Amino acid sequence: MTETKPQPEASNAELIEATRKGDLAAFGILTQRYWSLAVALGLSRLDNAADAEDIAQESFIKAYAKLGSLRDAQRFAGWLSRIVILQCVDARRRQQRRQRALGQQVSPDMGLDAAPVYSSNPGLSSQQIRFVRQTIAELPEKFKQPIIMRFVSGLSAVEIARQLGKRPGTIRVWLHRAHQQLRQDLAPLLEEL
Amino acid sequence: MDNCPNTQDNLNRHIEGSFTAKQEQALREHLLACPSCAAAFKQMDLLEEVVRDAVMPESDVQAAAARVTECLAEQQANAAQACATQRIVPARLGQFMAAAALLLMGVGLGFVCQRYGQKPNTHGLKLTDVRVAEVRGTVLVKHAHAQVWQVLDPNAPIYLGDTLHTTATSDFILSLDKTNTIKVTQNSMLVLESHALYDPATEFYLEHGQCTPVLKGPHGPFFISTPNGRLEALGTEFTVKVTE
Repeated sequence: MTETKPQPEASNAELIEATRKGDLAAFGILTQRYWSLAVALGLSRLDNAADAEDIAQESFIKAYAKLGSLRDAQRFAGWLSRIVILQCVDARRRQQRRQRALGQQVSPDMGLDAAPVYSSNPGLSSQQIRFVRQTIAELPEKFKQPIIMRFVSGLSAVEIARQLGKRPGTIRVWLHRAHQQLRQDLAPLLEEL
Repeated sequence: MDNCPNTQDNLNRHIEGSFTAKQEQALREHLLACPSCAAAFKQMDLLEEVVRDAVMPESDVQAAAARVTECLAEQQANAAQACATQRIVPARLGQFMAAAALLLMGVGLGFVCQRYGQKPNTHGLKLTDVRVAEVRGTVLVKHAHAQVWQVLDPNAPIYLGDTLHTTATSDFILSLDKTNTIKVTQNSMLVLESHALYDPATEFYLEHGQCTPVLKGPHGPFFISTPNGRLEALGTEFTVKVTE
């Protein structure tokens, strides 16, 4: 065997090609590359970080199983994002079914429960983190994915448009509106900091 | 303060991520000399930092990626061992090796098939009236003679010979008819070997993991085979677990 070890700086196309040939390490690099994006997308839709990480893990496993259906390797991030979002929708439905079965009131998409929340930033309090997540969750659906891709993965409007199969102009408008809404809704918090 | 004619344009281009590396460098130099842009970008940076930090994962990215690949490796190993490792009999070692080699070739072919987007051929497979009642997480299914593992679609039909595989975070319930079900827990592999609820028999093969048949309605002979033996259902609910 003269297979070369996948390099961390390899392109998505190279890593996907290697994964399709059975190289799990290549898929591991892809997972590292997009783990934060997957968790962030989960956190923009679910109540807590543990659920978001479970969803991210399930999504990567599903992505691996369905890799054959990915036509354009350069659009892996957008394709993976759709898997994460669908997994979140399924998770919400399951949770609501469970709540109905137990006779509990079905909670809205993001509940401000009293459980402590954590983030990678020790500077924000639990309450502040919860407030930020709640604000992101309240963004219109179409704004969430581009703004997370911009903030977490650092993709430009043009790159996001390519990933999502949209026109760059549309994504620019969505990014500006999302920014404006976040600025407005998070103003009380930003003044505190 | 908003007296720099370029402040808004700079902010807009930053929001869109349309600065090139060279322009970004020029902007940084501009910010040192322009209080108007510096103040606006300070607010912008704070907003982005707050949002980013609230949604960034708690766990270490490398550890998370290692967990995902471990899980996939485990699935592949289980698939490669299916119908081989746990049935190993020293006198049949040659047959086992041949089966394992064929299976590995199958897995390889599976990747090739997936790569070209081919769907597994279900032609000639016997459709059963077994249905998926509930799925939690990602469950994989492989049809008899197929090389490809697919994600189980809860609405898809179940064929005789289908192998169903759960991961560490998934499980499912099969409905045999209106009253009889079989629940399969995490990290299990179940094969539907024959299905005729009344005559002559229903038989599942539990390669590994755990399952719980719940047989509250009328049924004929019902068997669960395992690498360690074959069990016949005499009660209404029982759990079968395959251990090393």
